[in-house]
Amino acid sequence: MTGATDTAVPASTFERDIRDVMPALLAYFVRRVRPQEDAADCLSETLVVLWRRRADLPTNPDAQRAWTFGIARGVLANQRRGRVRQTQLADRLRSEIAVQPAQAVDSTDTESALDALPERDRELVTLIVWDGFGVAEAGELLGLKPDAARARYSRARKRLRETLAAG
Amino acid sequence: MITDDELTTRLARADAASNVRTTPETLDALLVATGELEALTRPRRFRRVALLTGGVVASLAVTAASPVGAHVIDSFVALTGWNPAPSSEIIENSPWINTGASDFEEYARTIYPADLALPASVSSETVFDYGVAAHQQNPGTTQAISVVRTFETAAQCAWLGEFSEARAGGDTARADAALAVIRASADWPAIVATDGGGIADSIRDFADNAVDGDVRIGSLGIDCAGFDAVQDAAQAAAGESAE
Repeated sequence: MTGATDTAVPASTFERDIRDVMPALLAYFVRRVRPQEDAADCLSETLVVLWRRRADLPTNPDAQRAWTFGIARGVLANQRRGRVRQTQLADRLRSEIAVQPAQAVDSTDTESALDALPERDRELVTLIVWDGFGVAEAGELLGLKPDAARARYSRARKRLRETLAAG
Repeated sequence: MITDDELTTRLARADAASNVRTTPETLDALLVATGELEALTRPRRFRRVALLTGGVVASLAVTAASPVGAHVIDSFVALTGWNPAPSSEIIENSPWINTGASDFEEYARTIYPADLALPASVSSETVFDYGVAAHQQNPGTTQAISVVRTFETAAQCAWLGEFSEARAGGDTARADAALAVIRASADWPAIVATDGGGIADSIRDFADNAVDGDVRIGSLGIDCAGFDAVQDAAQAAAGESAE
């Protein structure tokens, strides 16, 4: 809490744990940031925060993943406020993302249906379907109780089915 | 209406990350480089340099006299004068201070936010003493803003205590008033300045959920145990002196 404390977590242990979750974190940002290559800067910023808070990193892999995504959510919020800067560290990753081919499948209608959902419902659905979280886990990330998350998820899917059928 | 399976398929097709490929080497390089940069910019690495600088400044502090003006503040031993290269860890325009300096408490008094809102049951001295002690327990070099952040976090703990107590006692008006301050704390200067990962958002989310009756103090990620113990001790002492 003081900001002056140091951490006892060895760098090698931290790197090993974070290395495993980095592709998922990058995918999280690629799905939510435009232009896509800005995901590199978001990942870089997330790593900085993770390094700084590595003493708080849970030991359980599932808890680790949820915790790192919680930090990624915060970075995403900052990115949307224009508070994530481009860094040279992320240049190489930025270049790799920038040359990715466009999606072969036109999914404009699905994206529009998702955009029509309230923000928290959209995030709940995408955390579950794209990022692979369970309903309760995704709800926890969004500050929802498991029952509330299940009810919201069910309602959101129903609304998506209706919107896509109407389109 | 489309089926649930069809919806799942269409959502999967709309996944923008499905066509993004990166090499493990690139991710690894970013991770390692971030760690190296972080190690270079961590204040503790520079503590020895800062303490040497502090020795030079000490002679000025002895002659410092009130009132506390800018030229006097400049002479605190606690002010290291250290000015590192910018990085994402560094908050601009916040001096680097040595929390182990003999006049750290005196310096901290000059940066304590006089307008920091507190419940009636908590004194500013309690918050100040807690903040100073917290930094003195782990002496080192940090930015002044982090000390202010500790004061602000202690105030948040005070309001969380006020909120919990009022809620437990069924005092809705008092609980609502406390919740309003907790929500407003998302905009407190040091919390905003040091927010590297959505802290302000988590505060607002907490307040939104609490209004709906979903109270999850744990979601704030604030450890109030230390402050609560200090506040309990202060109240016990106040009770003894009143008897």
